[in-house]
Amino acid sequence: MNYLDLDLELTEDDIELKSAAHRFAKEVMRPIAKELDEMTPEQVIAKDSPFWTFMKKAYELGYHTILIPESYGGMDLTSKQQAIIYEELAWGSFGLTVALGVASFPAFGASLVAEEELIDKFITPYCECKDASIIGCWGITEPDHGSDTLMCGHPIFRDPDIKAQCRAKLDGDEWVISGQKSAWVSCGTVATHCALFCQTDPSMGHAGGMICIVPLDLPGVTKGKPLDKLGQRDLNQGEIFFDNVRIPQSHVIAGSEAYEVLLEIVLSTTTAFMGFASAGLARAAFEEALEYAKNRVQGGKRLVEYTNIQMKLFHMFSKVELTRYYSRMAYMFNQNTSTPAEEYSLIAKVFGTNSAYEIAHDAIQIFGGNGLTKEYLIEKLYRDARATLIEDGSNDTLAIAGGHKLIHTYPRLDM
Amino acid sequence: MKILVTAKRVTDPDMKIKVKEDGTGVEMSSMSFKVNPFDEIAIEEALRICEDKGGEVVVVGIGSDKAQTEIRYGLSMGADRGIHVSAGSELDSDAVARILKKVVETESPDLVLLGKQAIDVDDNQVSQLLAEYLGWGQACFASKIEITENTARVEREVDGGIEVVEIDLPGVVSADLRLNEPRYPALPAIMKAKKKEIKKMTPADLGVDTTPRVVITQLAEPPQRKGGRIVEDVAELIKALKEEAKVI
Repeated sequence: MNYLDLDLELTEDDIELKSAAHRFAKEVMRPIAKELDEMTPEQVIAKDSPFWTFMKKAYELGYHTILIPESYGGMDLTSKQQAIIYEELAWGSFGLTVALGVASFPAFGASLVAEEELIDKFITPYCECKDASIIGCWGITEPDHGSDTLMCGHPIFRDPDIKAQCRAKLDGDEWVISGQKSAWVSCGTVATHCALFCQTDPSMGHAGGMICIVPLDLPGVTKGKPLDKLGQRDLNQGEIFFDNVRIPQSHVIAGSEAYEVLLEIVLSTTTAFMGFASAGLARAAFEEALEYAKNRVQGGKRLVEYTNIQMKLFHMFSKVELTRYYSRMAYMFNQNTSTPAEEYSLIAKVFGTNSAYEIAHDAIQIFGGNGLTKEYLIEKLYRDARATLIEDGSNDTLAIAGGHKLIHTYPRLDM
Repeated sequence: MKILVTAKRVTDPDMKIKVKEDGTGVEMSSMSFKVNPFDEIAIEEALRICEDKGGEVVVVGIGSDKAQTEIRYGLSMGADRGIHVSAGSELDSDAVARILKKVVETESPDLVLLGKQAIDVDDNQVSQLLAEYLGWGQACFASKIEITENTARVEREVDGGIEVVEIDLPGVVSADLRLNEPRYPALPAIMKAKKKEIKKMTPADLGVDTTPRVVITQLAEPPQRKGGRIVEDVAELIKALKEEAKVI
């Protein structure tokens, strides 16, 4: 379904991109996501899986380069357009949208520093790829360190007693990587490249890290089995193990001196992404509920004729709208400043995912028993929404990180 | 090879149509629109022919300013340029065919490819009328098109089989459902489409009088289905069929 965009400054391009992305989400992503949701994780990543139909089609149409600037072979999209497109895609499937987002992570990371060699080796081939044969992933989360690797600026981020599980040491001209990233690496099981965030200086705790690109066909790399999970089953996730994997120094995007700053830039992007993607998921859940309530008759009248349902729908709708515009603005702001105000992106993630979950929850209540069955899409949307509260930083940890940050930064000055 | 294709703006077939209370038309507020799906197939086919043989695809849309959205869609799919014939009110098929004839005369394409019908009013007349007005050969409801030097060999699905017709070019072909599966516009193509030209003209520029010859006087919703009931015996069934359903 189309929606009214309150932004009076939308251009014809914005509207056209929105409608093209919506159509792709509706006709390609939703049906495939539904199919994948009912498969085992092994089936999802098997050669003949519809996951590949989706990925190939998305690459063919350029949806894998949304985040990459045109100068490196990506798209000439404004940050507003990026947010609009991703919202539409997430309306079709949150999990597949994340798959597509992380696929671009190594190239996106490389575009932040734009060293010649990184461009030639990783960005250009990725942008030119039309068959999903180059897929990225984001290796940051570790079995014992999930959200706490994301707490830039917080004291625990610099605690040397918190030992990382994936470390790199310089040996001559090469970095040697050992350890593992946990089973929550999105697209970890199918990726060809990893944007790896690993520790290089244990004396600095998690802050002593580097960001580098690791081609996953290097000797010493192994992968775990795809994870079997409650929601976003269309998104494969799995461990990556590194056993003395050697990469040249030229694969490094940021060393420990710039790690925290760059991580903050990355997080300001990813958490805002989770926000506007949540707007898509939230809207999908709201629309399911609205349509059902218009048709379902109980007590002799349609559900929409009951005041409590009207109120519920209104509050659900409010959250969709607030999530969209807040996340979009936070994203646009942080994409267009040299030092992002990270706490604003954190609000987008925490508020947006909470809203999507609450809306899906309320929607199921409107559906009654039908909402619990696999007959209706809302059951999947609810499970997908539940996963977002933990995905990309649990909302609790992000609130701690955000709270800590704002105590030190509020009030920020106008740009 | 130069191919002229059409892109009509129609109501989204996935949306529920509601007739206005006074029966003068369809409720358009809160309606969404898209390119007539049969036109989309025609555009796709034109693109494939030109990708194979080289050439130019020109998309024509007739209607209000909003109709340019659908022309743009054709350009996003890959067509080279557009023509927008601005017309305020709903035109009948005959007026559309006469406008297209004039456009064809200025553009001189080798082939005109149209959707077999628009899914809003389902008239299925424009391609046939256009071929007649141009004095060109026509092959309607194409499920396969092969272009040779000066001819188009067209397969048409008919009851019980496939009919093969061959027409001279220039000619008129209309696209059926199974001709192809249209592509989705790629993001770079959407960004490029904004730089493509859409030439504007009016029926008056073309010297076409659009006074309708066919007027829709009344639209009505189909009668609501009543619930079924179980009858006692055959006699009652026959009586109901005769008196209530009036089918025997």
